[in-house]
This record gives sequence, structure tokens and C-alpha cells, in this order.
Amino acid sequence: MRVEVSAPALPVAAPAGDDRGVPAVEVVRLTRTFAGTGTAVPALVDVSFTVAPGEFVSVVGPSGCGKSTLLHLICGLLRPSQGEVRIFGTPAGRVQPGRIGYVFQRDALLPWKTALDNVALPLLLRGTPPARARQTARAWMHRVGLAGFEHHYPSQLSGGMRKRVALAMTMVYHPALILMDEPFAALDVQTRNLMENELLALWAQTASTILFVTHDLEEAIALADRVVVLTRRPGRVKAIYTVDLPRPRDVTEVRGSEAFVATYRRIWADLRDEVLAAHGHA
Amino acid sequence: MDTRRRRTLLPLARLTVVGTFLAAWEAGVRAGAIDPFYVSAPSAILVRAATWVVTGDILGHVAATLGVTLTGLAVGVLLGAATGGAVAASPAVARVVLPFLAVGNALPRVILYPLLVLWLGVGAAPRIVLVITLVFFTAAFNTHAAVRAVDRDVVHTARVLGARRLQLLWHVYVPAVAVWLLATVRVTMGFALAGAIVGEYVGAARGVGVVVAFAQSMFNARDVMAGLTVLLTMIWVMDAGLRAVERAAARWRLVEVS
Amino acid sequence: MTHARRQGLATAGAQAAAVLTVLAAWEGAVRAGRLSQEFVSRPGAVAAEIWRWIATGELWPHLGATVSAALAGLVLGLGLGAALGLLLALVPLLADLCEPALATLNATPRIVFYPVLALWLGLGIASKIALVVTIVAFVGLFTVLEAVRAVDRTVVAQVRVLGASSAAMLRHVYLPATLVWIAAGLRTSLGFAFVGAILGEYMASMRGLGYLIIGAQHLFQPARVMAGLVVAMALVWALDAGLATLDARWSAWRQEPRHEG
Repeated sequence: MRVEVSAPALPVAAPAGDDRGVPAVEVVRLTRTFAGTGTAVPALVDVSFTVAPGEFVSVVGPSGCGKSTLLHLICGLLRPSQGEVRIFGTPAGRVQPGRIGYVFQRDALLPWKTALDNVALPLLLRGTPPARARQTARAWMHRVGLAGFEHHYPSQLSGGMRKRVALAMTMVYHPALILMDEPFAALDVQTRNLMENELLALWAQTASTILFVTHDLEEAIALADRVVVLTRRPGRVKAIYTVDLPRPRDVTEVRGSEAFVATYRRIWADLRDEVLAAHGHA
Repeated sequence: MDTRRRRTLLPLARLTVVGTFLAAWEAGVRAGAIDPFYVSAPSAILVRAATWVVTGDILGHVAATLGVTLTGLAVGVLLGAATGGAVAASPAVARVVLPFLAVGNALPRVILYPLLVLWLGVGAAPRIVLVITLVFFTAAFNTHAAVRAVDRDVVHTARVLGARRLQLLWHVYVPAVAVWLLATVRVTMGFALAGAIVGEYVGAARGVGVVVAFAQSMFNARDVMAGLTVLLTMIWVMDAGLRAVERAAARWRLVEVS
Repeated sequence: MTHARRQGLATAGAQAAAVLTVLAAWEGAVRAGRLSQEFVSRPGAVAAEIWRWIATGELWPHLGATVSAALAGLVLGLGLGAALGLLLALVPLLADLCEPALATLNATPRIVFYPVLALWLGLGIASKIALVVTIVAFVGLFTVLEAVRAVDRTVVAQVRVLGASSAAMLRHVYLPATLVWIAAGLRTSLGFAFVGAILGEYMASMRGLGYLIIGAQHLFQPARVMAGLVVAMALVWALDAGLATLDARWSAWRQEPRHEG
């Protein structure tokens, strides 16, 4: 098993064998500072990395290291204080909405719309005729295993089901890049494992690029091609690891393999220092 | 704009808006653009209200309105609290009585005033009774909820420690209910005053509302506005008084200050 | 029959019995001469008066006047309040400037402003509608304000990421969020609207339920006074019950979310 650690603060070359041209995500010396009352609070400092099209990249780091800020900057909800973010060559602020998907940690479904109408919403916003939008939405609900629940309201669905609706809602318009902010953190462990497998299955079908933020290192490794490790606040790139486990993977089975365990140990060594430091230990 | 500057600028901005409004009103009247017959002018209104206060003309009416309000409030809250407490003491009684209380609360009681005048005349009595009906149900429900909400474990512990009925009442239930009562009074104060004023508008002998209604029937906009100014000042003072009581109660740890 | 059901029926029975007993005792006491009919009337006389109103058709113009005033004020007031609430919610600066003043006005019983309205709009239906509008507008305003503010920021961010324009945000997020709260506010406002209309009629009017009641009071006719009150309360109660069923159906999505995995 090959593990590569790249030097921090330098753009990382695409994994060997990948030369599909324009990177999906280019983060170049990204810095974001928040103005507080008086002093400025840096959230991210000098972050650089690249994500190739079709890759699945995880981002891990201690709490408060700026993982969510990073995603907000990439999808254009925030603007960088310094540095650049480019999505398929276009600066983040100017990307057409249809190219990026975002799955939030908390429930982002519209509670006053049925599951079907939620999934259909992105298509409606793009001008798809309502009948066709609903048809496509129905197909996606079937794909995520929720056939028969189309006319339920989010409050009538369990947490796992709501997450599946959120996934369907994100993928229904085939965004080329999907950002996921600890999407499964609020679920219980069993549901989480199920969702992780479903995510991998969907990803295999759609060939989107996925940038997945999590605090769970096991999840990060089980899902991804590469893992970016951020330092505690202010977040910088500490290291980027390649995960060389075969696909297709089952997240529960792969966790037992020797390769997985070895990878986990290597990355945890880096991550642990940051977590301890973030909690005030030496 | 950072928060500190905001905190000082915002009240200033609000005052400016109000001040500008009053100034524009006054200017409009003086310039002849606004007909004073309908709205009078701020200067005239303030002078009239001040005169009333200084000569004491209004004070009898203020006393009448306040008297009705506070009497009705006190009686209504006490009766309601007693009823609510009694109902909470017995689940069987509660099952029968609570729906009646709910229905009573849902009925618009303020429209009963003419019936009360029919029976009790045009003095203070019908108004006081009206205020009582307005306040009673809220007090009953709140007290019932407060008593029900007293932690069973607290009662258990007190019993185990040997507390007898009366001690239980004094040390556990009364403080719990007192918190709710203060909140209840705060809420019902508005209803009580409204009831008193409605009574004065519809038919009464004395009260600030009577002054206003009379002025309206004489098409005297200045006096209507001056009367309303007095009323609004009363409301503001009563609310400030309540808040002071709440603060004092909080000092004696009877109340949680929100 | 389950125990709970039996208990429920027994309670309802006890309550019905209590009401009927009071009415029967009242009727009986009057007929026996213990209570004066001229003073407290009796249930039979009240019912007869109501029946007479319906049979002769005397009731309808007055009922119509009160209902028109209440409903017109309700619709205008809620509409105006909702529009202002939306404006304040979407323009935070305006909200910061106006909210304290509005809260103070809301805490003031608007009935006290009726003489001003009568001064400006006369003693006809216009001042009654205006009174209802002033009462109800605040309900609409604060309801909408709260509804928009309560929209989960995550939901807003999600829809924004999906590329919604401002118009789309209004249509898919803010309007649906407020509509449900408006439905709830409607029930509260309904009672206020009728009370406002009737109180306005008490103070000066030429028709309406309030006119009937206050006229009867001046002529010392307790049966007519009570008849009017019974009709008014029955009306409010019936409308509220109707709205309750509608409200239950419309807010199906507001159930407590399930919490399992």
C-alpha cells in the first residue's frame, strides 16, 4: 500500500494516471479572516490543494479548524480574504449554480414541501416543466430507496430517510461537483454506515466529483481517494494522504482490512496532534 | 456597522424618526396643509394634557379608571388563582371543570358589557365585573398549569421530610404559583385596562375614557388626542411599575427574570 | 368501550347535565316568581326572541352588517399586516427602527383608538372596519415577522446554493413559510375581528348585532340583550370551529419530526 505525504502549502499534483485537464477544484493560497469586535479572527490561512474531476476527497481536522468555512468558500457562499478558488477553471463566485451541489449537516429540506417536491425543486428552479421535474424526481426517489414516500412531509420521515431525500435533491440535477459538510454526523452509527455505502453507489453511477468534510477519520478513509488533513484553527493544510484501497468498497468490511488500519494509523498520528492542540494540550 | 456603534446609534435613529414625525405634523398644521379639525396639532395636544394635569381636572378621571382596573385585576386574579388551584388539586374536578373554563376563555367576554350595565347600572360596578371576567380565566388556567407543573419529586421529597399539608402549600406550591402570578398579571394588565376603557366608551360616568368619548361626540380632536395621550401615559407607567415589581421580586428570588 | 372512552362520555354527560340543570333552574325560578323576568329574563324568552328574529327576518340585515365589518377588516388587516411584516423581515434596518414602536402599539389595546377613528371616518361601517384593521394588522405583522425569521437558515442557504433568484426564494421559501402561520393567526384574529366590529357598534351605529344589543340595553330589554349576545357568541364559536378543522388539515407538515435513525 502506498502512502504519500505532500509538503504543506504547496499545490498537490493530481494522482498518478489522472490527466483529465482542468481540475474540478483548485484552491490556491486560500485565506479567510472574519472580522470580530476589534480583532480579526483568521479561520483559514494559506490553504492550497487540487481535486481532480471524478475524485472523492475527504477533508478532516479538529473542530473549529474551518472545514465548513472551506466549503462555503468553494461554493461561493463566502468570498476569500486572500487567494483564489477555481471550479473547473471558473472563479468560485462566478460559477453557474447548476454545477455545484451542497449537502448540509443539518436538515435543509423545505419542511412545507413533500419529499417529492423537495427533490423536484432544483429542476423547477432551472426552468424544467413541473411535470417532467416531478417525473425525474420520482425516479431519483426510487433510486435512493424511497419509492412510496413521495407525498410524505420531512417531519413524517426518519433522519436517515431525510438524508436520502437530501442526497436525491442534490444529485437530481447532476452537479459536477458535490460538497458535503458532515452530512451523516447527526445519524446513528448503523444508519450512517448504510448511507455511506449508498453514497458510494450513487457516486459510482454519477461520476461527480465529491469533496467530503468530516471529523470522523474512519469515514474519511473508507469513502475517499485522498484525505486532506487540516490543522487546528487557523486551518492550514497539514498533509494530504492518498488512500489506496480497492473499489468498489463496502464501508463496514473495508474497515477491517490491514491496509485500512495501516492508513488509519498513519493519518491519525498527524490528526491527533492537532486535536490535542485544539483542546489545549501540548 | 459593528455592534457597539449600533447600540448607541439605533435608539438615536428611532428618536429621530419619532421627532421628525411630530415636527412634520406640527409644521403641516401651521402651514395649513393638515386640517387641525381632524388631528389637532402636537403643541395644542400637549398643552391641553398639561393643563388638565396641572389644574387637576383629569386626576379624578384617572383615579376612576385606575380604580376600576386595579380592583378588577386584583379580584379576578385572586379568584382565578383560587379556582385554578382548587381544580388542580383534584383530577376528577379538573376533568369536569376545565372544559367549561376553556369555553369561557374562548368566548369574547368584553361584549357582555351591556348586559352588565343592564344589571348593575352605570357606576363602577359593571366595569369592575367586566375586568374580572376578562382576567379570571387566564389566571385560572395559569395557576392550574403552575400547580400541575410543580415537580412531583420536589413534593415527594418534602413529604418524606415530614412536611404537612399547610407547610407543603407555603413552601412549595405558593412560591411556584407566585412566579406564574406575576407573569399572569403582566399579561392580563392590558386586558384589564382595555376592559375598563371599553366600559367608559360605551357608557360610564367617570373615567379617562369618558373624557375621550365625550370629546369625540363634540368633534373635539384636540381633547380626544389629549385624552389618549393621558391613557397611553397611564399604560406606560403601569407597565414600568410592573417591571419594577418584577425586578424587586427577582432580588428576593421569587421570580426568574427573563 | 374502552375505559378512557367511557370516562370521556361520563364527563361529557356530567357537563351537559350541569348546563341543563342551570338552565332549568333559571327557567323554573323565574316562572315560580323567585327571580324577576324583567330583570334577568329566562332561557325560554331568550330563545323565543332569537326565533322571532329569524322568523321575521329582522336578524339578517344586522347580522350581515356585523359580519361584513368583521370580515372586511379581517382581510384588509391581515393583508396589510402581512405585507408590512414581510417588508420588515426582509429589510432588517427598517425592522430595527420600527420594532420597539410597533411593540408598544401592539401592547396597547387598540380599542382605545376608536374615538379617533370615529372622528375621522364617521359613525358608519368605515370606522368599524378601520378598528378591526388596527387590531388585526398587528397580529398579521408579528406573525409574518416571526414566520420569516423562523425559517431555518440552513434551508435558506440550501435553496440559495441551488441557484434560486430572489423571486424564487419568495415563492418557494418565504411565502409558504408565512402562509401556515397566517392560517394560525387567522383563528386568533377572527375573534378579535368580531369583538372589534361589535364594540364599534356599541359605541355608535345604526345597524349590526352590537346595535341590537346596545339598543336593547337602553330600553331595558334583557331578553333581547341576551339573545344578541347568544347569536354573537354562537357565530364566533362556529366560525372558529370551522377554521380549526381547516387549520388541522393545512398544517400536516408541522408534526413533530421523528427522531430515530
